[in-house]
Amino acid sequence: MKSAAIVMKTGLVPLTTISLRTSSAETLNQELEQRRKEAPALFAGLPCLLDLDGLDPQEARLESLVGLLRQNGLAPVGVRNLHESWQSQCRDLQLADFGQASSRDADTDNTPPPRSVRVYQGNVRSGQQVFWDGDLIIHGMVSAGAEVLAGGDIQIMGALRGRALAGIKGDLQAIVSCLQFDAELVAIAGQYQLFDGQHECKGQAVVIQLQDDQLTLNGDA
Amino acid sequence: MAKIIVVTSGKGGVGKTTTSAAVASALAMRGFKTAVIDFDVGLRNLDLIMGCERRVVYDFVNVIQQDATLNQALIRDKRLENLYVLPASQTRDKDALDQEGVKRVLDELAETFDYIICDSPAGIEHGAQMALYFADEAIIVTNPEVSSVRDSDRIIGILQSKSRRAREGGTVKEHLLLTRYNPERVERGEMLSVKDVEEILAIPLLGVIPESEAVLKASNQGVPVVHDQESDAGQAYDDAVARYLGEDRPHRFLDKQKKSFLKRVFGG
Ligand SMILES: Nc1ncnc2c1ncn2[C@@H]1O[C@H](COP(=O)(O)OP(=O)(O)O)[C@@H](O)[C@H]1O
Ligand SMILES: [Mg+2]
Repeated sequence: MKSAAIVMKTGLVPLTTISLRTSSAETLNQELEQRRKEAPALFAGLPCLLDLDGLDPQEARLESLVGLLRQNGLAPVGVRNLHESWQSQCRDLQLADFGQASSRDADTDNTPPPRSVRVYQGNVRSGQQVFWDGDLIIHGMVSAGAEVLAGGDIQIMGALRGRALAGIKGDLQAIVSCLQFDAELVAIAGQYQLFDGQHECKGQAVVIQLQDDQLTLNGDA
Repeated sequence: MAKIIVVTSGKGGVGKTTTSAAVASALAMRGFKTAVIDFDVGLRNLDLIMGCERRVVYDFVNVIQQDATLNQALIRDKRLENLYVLPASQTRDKDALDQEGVKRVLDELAETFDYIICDSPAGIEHGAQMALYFADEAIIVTNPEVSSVRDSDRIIGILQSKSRRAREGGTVKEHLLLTRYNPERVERGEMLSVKDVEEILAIPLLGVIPESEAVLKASNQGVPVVHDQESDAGQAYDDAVARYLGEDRPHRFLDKQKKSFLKRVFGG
């Protein structure tokens, strides 16, 4: 029999994490009220996840902490980094346990925003220039006398005989890679190096990065 | 439908005109109705290589400017009845060719010819771009030296970005013709090898034409070198055209000629 009464979907629903740095009811209430006044529309019925990392179960009851949030209009749906001795209270309050996760990861997201990628099909010939703000993939070679520039990384699926300038807006993490190295010039974030065609990596696949203001080829300066 | 082939190189003096004359003649010998056009306005010499300079009355620019009809300007080859030459003007300036006019001439030729060979001037400027703009295919003439290879690379870039086919999202089929190849000098490391050039340019190799005295002799006589089937260069051009038409012919003249015993003893 086909069920039409229930439809289940998995998806990412944004959920605000609220980390409590103290269990003092007075301090918490003051701050919550102040924030609510600043942004009442944000607080009204806001579903949130309560991060209890570092709180001492001896000092507060989970019920009263959750109560404080509710009084201020928030709608806690679950907890994270729950101390063992709070587990039964959590069940009684019918909150979901989201397990143990580092709150630092949740607070400060270090992953850079995704960069747009351009795939250039074919060879970049002498006298030609290819530029892209984000990451650039050359599906071909870069001839002597040709130039490729990118705000992000440059990946060349062939020989690099011309010039490659990555991270041209100052990205020190940018890399240049190619399958056959014989570049005239490589630059990363403005640090450039000229090559005379006699480099020991000539003809080899290389990854070029910036380390302490020096370009390194496959890890060697 | 006629096929338009541009013979181009970027660099001058590498053998474009020699190649245009030889390829056009070899195609005509095989029965294809062929026209060869000199795009080198101001420096015409295709007519000299073809041996028809005395019969030039009207030229390409006259036809473009509609001072003469195409039939008035086309010169029929003395040796091959399928072959016609459209000479360049000797007096006009390089910008006398305009895209509209070139298109009109090519369209008219395309009605009756099988192949149209465009002998490009040197450089990458207006004249060279006019010669390659309407091409379906390109013969890239390259000498085994760094500057010639670099210029060929540039002209390939222009073919791939500025030709009509490229603008319409297509490609111009490229053929590498390595000319003035001197195996001894390659062996001594004074010139690039076939393999080096193939690797740098990354386009299919159509043929290798050896450096040959027969070329100078042929051009002095006004007879395209492919008529001289005794000569190495004549045979190499014939091979290249056969290959172009789909025949499977091994590459020749790539290695140093071994001197015969007598030559080694008595010098030669
Ligand atoms: N295979 C060859 N062997 C010897 N000389 C050659 C060869 N090909 C071309 N040449 C010579 O090189 C010079 C330039 O040739 P040409 O065909 O006029 O070049 P382009 O049209 O590219 O300027 C001429 O003197 C020609 O005789
Ligand atoms: Mg010429």
